Amino acid sequence: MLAGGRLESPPGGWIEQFGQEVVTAGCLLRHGLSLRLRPGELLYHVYLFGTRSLPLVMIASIFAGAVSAWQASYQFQGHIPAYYLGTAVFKAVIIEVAPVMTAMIIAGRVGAAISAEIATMKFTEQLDALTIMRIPVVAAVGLPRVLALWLSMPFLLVFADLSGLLGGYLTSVSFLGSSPASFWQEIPAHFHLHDIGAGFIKAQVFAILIGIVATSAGFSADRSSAGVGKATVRSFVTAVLYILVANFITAVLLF
Amino acid sequence: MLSITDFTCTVQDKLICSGASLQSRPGQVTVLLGASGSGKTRLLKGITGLTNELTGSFSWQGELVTSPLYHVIHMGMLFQNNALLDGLTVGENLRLAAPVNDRELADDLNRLGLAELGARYPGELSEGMKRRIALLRAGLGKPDLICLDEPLAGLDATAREQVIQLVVRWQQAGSCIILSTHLLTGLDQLTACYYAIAGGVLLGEYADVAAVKRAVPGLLRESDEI
Repeated sequence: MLAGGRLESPPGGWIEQFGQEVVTAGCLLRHGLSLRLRPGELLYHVYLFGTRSLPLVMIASIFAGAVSAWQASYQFQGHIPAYYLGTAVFKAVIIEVAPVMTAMIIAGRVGAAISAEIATMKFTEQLDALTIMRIPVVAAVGLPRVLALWLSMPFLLVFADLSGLLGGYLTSVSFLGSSPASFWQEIPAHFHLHDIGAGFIKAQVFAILIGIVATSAGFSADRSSAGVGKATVRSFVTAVLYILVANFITAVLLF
Repeated sequence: MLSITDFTCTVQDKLICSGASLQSRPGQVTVLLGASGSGKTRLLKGITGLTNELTGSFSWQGELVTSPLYHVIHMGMLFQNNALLDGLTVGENLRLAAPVNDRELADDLNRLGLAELGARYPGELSEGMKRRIALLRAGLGKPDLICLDEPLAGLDATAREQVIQLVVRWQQAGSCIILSTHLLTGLDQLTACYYAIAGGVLLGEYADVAAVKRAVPGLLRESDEI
């Protein structure tokens, strides 16, 4: 699987793929500790992954927050006072909706792009050129991207949280009969810093998973245009699956 | 000196070539001569250690080499696709190979008629420009072994001459050079030994192009002699 510091394509199957991802993570960690990162490259990727993803993350979060409010209102009918709607939306958005929604969008928009870029670099022999120059390929190409993704995530999550709350608030006030004051009324009483911290921890875990899966899919892609396509699909599908599994595990560990 | 003896090339469990040998001596260009699709690139990548299709007894300066060659010696390589990193400027691409200062970089680029291109990205350049920059990168930092895959392909007559002159310079500096080509232009300016290759099989070592023509006439009919 790892020949001369280069990653070879796994023969196929989930176990090989998982092994490939573990090896990629190991390479990133091993070489990453000694690799001199170029700040310019890191900032460029933070801009590309973070700033450029912001509009999409915000729009998606507004609607996710809106749906959370609508569904909570439906569940509350006849059982729970409407002034708890704001608290329900707040908790749902902060703990679940915003981290997971942001991760899904980033897996599709950024993870797939990372895979495609690395697979293309492999296809066009750019990775071979680095190998010949004895540059640790996985770390040199993968690490700036994974790190940039990890750094971008908290920034994106703040905006996803705020956008989700805005969507929930507007829906509650405009369509569900809440007054502006009643929406916010109960939130301070049920506010726990732990909830916000948990959301951020989740998002950071998701970012690392997306980064590792995306780089691994790119490095193990076949050397063809079809291989580039398959790598992007593998990257997105695997990342989404890992996000959902990690979401459950972090929920169990954090709450 | 690089010496590979009794080498075997296996592609997807199919034996292509066995029992052949190849030498690359300092100050002499080892030319792999064959038509397109004859297996020159496969052989070059096998020699470098980028693929594991080639096995045999590798030795460098008389010492047996058991790891991929790029692990053991300082190498430079010109790839068929040029393999310049898209996200880096020309200058950054070149500095990946060796820590050259601005003056040296400008001189090298100027020598190939590529002055003022240091800040440009590969995507902004023509194929011929990319080819010459990739060639320059292959030889930066005085590598022990320079592998050049079709360095003359896609270049006009002036650029071919510049490339040949650069290879002559590296040769005179004492680097081992392995050059694969299907073009004969300018080869007479090099101090070279020739290996003919067809169907992935190394047919033998020859002293000059005329000897190759005599021994394997079909090979050169398929080659571009312009």
